[in-house]
Amino acid sequence: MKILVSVKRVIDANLRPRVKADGSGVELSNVKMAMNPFDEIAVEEAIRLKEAGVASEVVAVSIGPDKAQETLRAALAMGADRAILVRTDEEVQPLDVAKVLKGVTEEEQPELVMLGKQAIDDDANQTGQMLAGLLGWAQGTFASKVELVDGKATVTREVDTGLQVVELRLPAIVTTDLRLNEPRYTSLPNIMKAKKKPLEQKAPADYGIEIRPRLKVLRTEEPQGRKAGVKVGAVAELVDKLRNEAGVL
Amino acid sequence: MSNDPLLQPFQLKHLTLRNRIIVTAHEPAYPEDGMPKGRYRAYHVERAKGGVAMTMTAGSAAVSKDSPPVFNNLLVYKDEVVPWMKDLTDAVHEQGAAVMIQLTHLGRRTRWDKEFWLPVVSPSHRREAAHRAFPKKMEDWDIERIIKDYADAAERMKAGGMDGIELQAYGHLMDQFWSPLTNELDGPYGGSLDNRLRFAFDVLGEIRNRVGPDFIVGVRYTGDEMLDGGLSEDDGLEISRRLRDSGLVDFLNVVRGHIDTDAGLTDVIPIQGMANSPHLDFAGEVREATGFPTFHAAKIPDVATARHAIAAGKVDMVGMTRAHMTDPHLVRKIVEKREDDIRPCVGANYCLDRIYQGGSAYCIHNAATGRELTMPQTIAKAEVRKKVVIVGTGPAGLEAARVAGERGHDVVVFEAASEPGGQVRLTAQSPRRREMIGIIDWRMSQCEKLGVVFHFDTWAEAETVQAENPDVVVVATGGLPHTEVLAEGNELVVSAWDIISGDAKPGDKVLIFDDAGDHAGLQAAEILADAGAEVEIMSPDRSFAPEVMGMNLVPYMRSLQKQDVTFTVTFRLTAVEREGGQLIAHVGSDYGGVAKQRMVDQVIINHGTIPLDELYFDLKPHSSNHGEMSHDQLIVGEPQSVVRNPQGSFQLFRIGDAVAARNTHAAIFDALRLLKDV
Repeated sequence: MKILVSVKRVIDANLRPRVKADGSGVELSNVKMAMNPFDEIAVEEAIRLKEAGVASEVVAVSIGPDKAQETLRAALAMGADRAILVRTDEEVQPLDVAKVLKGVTEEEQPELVMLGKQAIDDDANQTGQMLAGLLGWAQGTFASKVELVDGKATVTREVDTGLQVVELRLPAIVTTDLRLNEPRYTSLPNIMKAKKKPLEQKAPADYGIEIRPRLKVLRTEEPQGRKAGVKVGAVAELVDKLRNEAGVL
Repeated sequence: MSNDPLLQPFQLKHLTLRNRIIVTAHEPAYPEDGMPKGRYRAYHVERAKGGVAMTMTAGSAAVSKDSPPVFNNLLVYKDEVVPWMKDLTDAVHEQGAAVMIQLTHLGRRTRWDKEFWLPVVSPSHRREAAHRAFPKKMEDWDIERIIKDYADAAERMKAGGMDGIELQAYGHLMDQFWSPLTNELDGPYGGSLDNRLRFAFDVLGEIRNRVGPDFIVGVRYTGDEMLDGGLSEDDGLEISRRLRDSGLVDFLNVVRGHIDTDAGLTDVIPIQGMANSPHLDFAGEVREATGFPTFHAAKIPDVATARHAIAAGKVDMVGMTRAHMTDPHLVRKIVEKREDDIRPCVGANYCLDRIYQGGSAYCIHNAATGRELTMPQTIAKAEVRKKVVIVGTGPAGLEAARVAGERGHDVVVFEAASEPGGQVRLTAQSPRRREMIGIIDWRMSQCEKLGVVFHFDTWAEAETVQAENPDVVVVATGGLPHTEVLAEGNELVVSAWDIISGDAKPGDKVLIFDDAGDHAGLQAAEILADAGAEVEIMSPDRSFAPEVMGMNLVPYMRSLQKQDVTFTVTFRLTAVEREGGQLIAHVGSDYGGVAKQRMVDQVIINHGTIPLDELYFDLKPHSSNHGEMSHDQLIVGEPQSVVRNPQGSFQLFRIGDAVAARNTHAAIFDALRLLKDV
């Protein structure tokens, strides 16, 4: 069974992003970039399925500029077998990502496509769902557990009310949540092995897609700073403040 | 004035301490001929400059000739120490800090085969495990002369202009009298608690007779030996009250535990992976019981805990001693509200362990400490801004990046992995070594402030480096595990790294052949044992894991002994062959004439790293110096000026394990001393 995993190059989740002076977006020059953490979880899960003998091949795909190769190399170092870069310098929004991934999926014919539930830069949380819609495949989003048995995927989803278990007929789409696994440490010997793994370059046009942003960013602002707290003298005062000032009781 | 509890002055008798942070006594083993000369002075002056309130010099300065240092301590039984002490004191005072000294007689905690070959003395014949000398049981004239020696030494310290002294009473002669475990004397100095304390009070009384009331005298003592039959917490509190009530002392500096074994010492002074500030609450009990000025130190590495210690009234003065090895300017950074810039102590305990093994204390990740005469704690800006390209973000590469950034250079760093750290990140995979990542995190945050540009997930080739048009290239690419050491069967073994990284799954019956003797071998053993494997660690040396050193070994032993890991020394793995699903390990010995076998299912080899030097050799022909580093210039601290190829467009240097397998401190020292002059 082949698994396709999409990975996105984003600002390192451990950094505090700075908004550009003109408010047009987040400052990305000279900033450490990394694989979207939810995608890293997707890669890890795919590799674990391969190590367990359930999957036979793991293909990582990314859409973006040349630099996105770095993120694919990281996926290869983790244990993906090969990688595809769909190269573009355009800004790629979720619908275009989903369209390109549909093209890649049709060419690669995987039985499972795994994606992070969202990217930590735009937090759109759309690509997996859109891809499922475009392909007409079943989808299991926000997965905290994935089991593959007899041509079916049993996916435990993290939803607001708790956990929901869905059964999907393969081929299917799974988007991964935080608690699915803890991605592995990537060792230097594996980074060296990854250098020799194939990384194929494609263009959106190869899939008949023209990248065309439909959304326009009007303004980007930093969140307001945290206001200083106050010390309360007694429980009664706290309750009073919660009720009358914070309005939460 | 600041309202930070740590920055409030403290009045100790007539002496005003400018804030609440002190460096407690510790002997970094920098004396020359037993005297605190230039290097010693520079070390303490640097901490005084950095803002500390008081620095306590000399762990265990020797008051008597039959208390010979086991490594390299100050010899305060000599009169010639006075002018040296005076120079040190004046220089520290000039920076606004107080300065005192710890005096001691080691009793049985030393050896007799030293300078004068005098028998070691103690109030019993009981031997201390750590130093192994069988002591002479003291008689009346021993006691009399040592009381006099203490008083003579105190007088010398007063003559040297010092603000005060403290007497050591945990594991040394003074508390060898106190503890029922080590005092078998009859009569006035043995038996009841009154009698066992008599020696200490006789010493304190004689000191007071000599130095008068205006000289500060304290005692650093154990308040609870935590040993069956030893001094209990109740004894400790009683002793604390008696010290207060004696009118002879001005402060109590309390520790808890016993130091007669490596394990005991490590509980008193815990290392990384162990709980922080484990004895702070106990120190608070002593302060509460006595209402007397109380000092304490024991793994309080961070400012937040230190602040809590003062704010919560646990202690009056908080010791941040190892923290000051790592960052001597810690207090200044608190004052300047730059706590984020404090270089963190990661508890690696390289400083303390190395005193015994290597002769003088160095910080694992501050190579300027103990080298204040030649290495800067604050890096000066370069006159000419250069383009510096660094490959690798292990400790060598990141220190190079930080120092080059501080110099004001345009710095670009390439790293093959997604995250910085190299072997430090690998070692930090083990929970007990997790604090090591502070070495990397601090440098990354410093580099970010300095505008260093990083390219991760990038395997730098010669062209990648040359495309940056560098003036200076530093190759800090580290190494890969070296496992090809067998006559046959190299392809059948895995490295210790493979186990730590998780690349190799643990076997069931495992032989670890470890002749590197560093952390990796023991880390692998622990992971294997935790996974349920039956583990044997084999070393051709006379002892296993010699590079891990005494105190660092303690947590490993506590884990590995429980899991029945076995240790085999003086045997060498020579070959491995496959038989069925098993492996036959062939074992010989450097002593000869031995051929044994082991049947196992996994063989691990820990034999250090082999340099990853391809990039270096690709760049070498294009460089102006062909990679040559002048050792003379490096040692003296001059810019490198070797030219072997006038056509070369950049200088090329190789540092850290990319040269040869060494350790974290060596990698960081390589980087600091090279880059400070670029």
